[in-house]
Amino acid sequence: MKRPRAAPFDGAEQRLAASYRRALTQSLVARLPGHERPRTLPDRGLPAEPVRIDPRKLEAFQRGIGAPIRNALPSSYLHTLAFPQAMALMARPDFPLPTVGMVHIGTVAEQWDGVQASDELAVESCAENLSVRRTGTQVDVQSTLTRRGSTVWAGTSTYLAPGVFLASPPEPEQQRPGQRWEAPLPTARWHLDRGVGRRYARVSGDWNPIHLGRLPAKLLGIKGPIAHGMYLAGRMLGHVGDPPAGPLRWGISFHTPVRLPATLEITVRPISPYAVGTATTALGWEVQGWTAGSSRPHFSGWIDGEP
Amino acid sequence: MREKHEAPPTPNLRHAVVIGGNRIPFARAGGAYANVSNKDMLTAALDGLVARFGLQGEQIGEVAAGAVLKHSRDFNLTREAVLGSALSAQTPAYDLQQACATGLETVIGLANKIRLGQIESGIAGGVDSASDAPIAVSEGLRRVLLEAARAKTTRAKAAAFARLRPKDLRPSAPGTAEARTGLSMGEHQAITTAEWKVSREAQDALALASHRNLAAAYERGFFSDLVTGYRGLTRDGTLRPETTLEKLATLPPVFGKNLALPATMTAGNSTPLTDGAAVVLLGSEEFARSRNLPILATIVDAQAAAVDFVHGRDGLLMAPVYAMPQLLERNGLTFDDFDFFEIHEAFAGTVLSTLAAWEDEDFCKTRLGLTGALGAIDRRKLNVNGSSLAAGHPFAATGGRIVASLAAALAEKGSGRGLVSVCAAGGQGVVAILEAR
Repeated sequence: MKRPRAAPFDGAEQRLAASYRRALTQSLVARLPGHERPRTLPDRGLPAEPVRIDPRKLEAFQRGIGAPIRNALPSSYLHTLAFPQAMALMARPDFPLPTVGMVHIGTVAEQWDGVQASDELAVESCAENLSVRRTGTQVDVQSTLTRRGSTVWAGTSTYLAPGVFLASPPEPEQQRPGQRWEAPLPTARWHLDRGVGRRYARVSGDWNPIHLGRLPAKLLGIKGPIAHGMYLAGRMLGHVGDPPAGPLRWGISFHTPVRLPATLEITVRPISPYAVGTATTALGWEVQGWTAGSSRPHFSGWIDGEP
Repeated sequence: MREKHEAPPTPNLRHAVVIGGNRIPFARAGGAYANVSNKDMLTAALDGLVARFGLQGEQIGEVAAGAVLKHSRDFNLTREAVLGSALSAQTPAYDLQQACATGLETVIGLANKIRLGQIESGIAGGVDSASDAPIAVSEGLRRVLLEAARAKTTRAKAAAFARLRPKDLRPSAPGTAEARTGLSMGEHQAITTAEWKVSREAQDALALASHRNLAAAYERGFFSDLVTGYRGLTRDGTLRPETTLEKLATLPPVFGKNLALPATMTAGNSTPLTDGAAVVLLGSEEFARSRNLPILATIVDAQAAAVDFVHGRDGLLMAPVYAMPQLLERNGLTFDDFDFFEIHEAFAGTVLSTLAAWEDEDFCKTRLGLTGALGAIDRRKLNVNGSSLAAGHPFAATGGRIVASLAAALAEKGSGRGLVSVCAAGGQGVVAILEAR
């Protein structure tokens, strides 16, 4: 992955860093006696604000996820552009869940048109669907990117605050038999070295300490650094190839963290049945990533739209 | 959409024929040719051909060859080899690269030029050295060096070098991993082998046949007209005439060990990394006759295909499966019309998966768009003089080895047709038809 030649921090990253600082402070404040978090989502999200695209960071990002350096932005980069505002929303004092320790469990995105680095975009974010699950409380954060008033990209990321219950948890689901996951035949293998988290932080601006190294991860209570979920999403899209002109829909669910360094077995399969003959149309692709010999995949994703 | 080719109305095309071939024995990587380069080996193969057919000082229409593992300084590898050979210095040459199909593709390209009347003669071939492989600096160091070279001030140069990290000093050697998947060719084949449920026993049996056939061909002098000794080697260094099924069965698996299914691919039923070079002399019939040169076979037709291995539709090395029905249909032929089948043994599993696909009615209907199975190949006609498992596989040299050997086998028999099938990295494959004179 190429190191960006731009200044190490720009406005978006400073804002992200500030959000993380605020989140940390709030997690400490939340422990004070008598402190109570709000139990509902804020009524409104954050208003539209312009997004700046740094071509050098874009190039470093494209290189980092194995996408071609082309004019059109990778769909996963659009998430990166929207992320600082989403994070700011979650770090606000009126947000009901603690941001520190929150787990990214999945993202679904839709893109209507190709986006170029020279496009002027605006981002808007809101939170919705606060729901109590067996393991904690989860929330959807939706971000929308518009260009000259029309939506070009919208993504919803789901986050879980483990062990946080704003209401009593539902009854545990009955384990259905015959649901054991079996590893499919792989079609690729990804080697993720120890530095992947730091390098992705550099190109995406997401400096969450759990991705950066052993010590920062340990401070937050996990054994070692784990890969960014959105890095895996970016690699997935880069691997399958997202069409530069859109439209495109994709989604990814994270099942278990990818502890770095890692060797992931990857499989890509067409979703649609094959057409007769050698026609190459497919409705989309399913992707899974796992560690050889494990009983659960790390992630599963899908992409609609012919790459 | 698949491209459909109808038989073209081509009354003016003339025949392109194989006059002969020459190669150096193939050597295990790090063995007899450890200290020679691609250029050395290609020059040696050309020298042998020149000597066999009295081409000293001759101006050949064009020479085409290539190497898969190539130093950037060898951008004009073939022309440099021609200049170092006994051919006329006025012989033009070009390099071609299509991974393991390089050699076969050079034959097809030059044969087509001959058929069109653009050249009278051509030398096609290829060379590869796994021993003398290019080693590059790491991507990090490369980028720093390039940026420092572009920098206009000392300060900017220093800034570029300041970004160097210790790990950037590690060199990067070429691997056999596919760029898009990170899986080595062997790992890819292990997946295909598992998908087609090819057994370890069947793979070992194919490897054994390859060694026995190649050894027998050497014994009866078949290669006397095709191979010139080099660097003390007179036979292929990887040939094991004494090997047995029992010995092959003792080898531990090397590929597919991460799969949930038993691993079946060993060093015995996979081709070893090899060094070597092979060239083929092609010409118009007039060229051959006017010089009193032999005509071994006609190059009839060829077809390339590619598969989408990135999105899990097909195995990496299964492209020839798709190329074959197109070639047969265009020429109005079936497997029954052939006397020799030369299916490149990248791995025993590749050959057996390919055969299984052609015999599978469902696969041929749904994937190849045929009305039924393409058919079975008479195994007694398959790789009768040995193939890559025994001879080795210096990537770009394999096409030249196969075309020259098949042409010689057709000439020996005096009649019939031969089919060539070569798979290549990047999910590509090339097939071709040769016919006896």
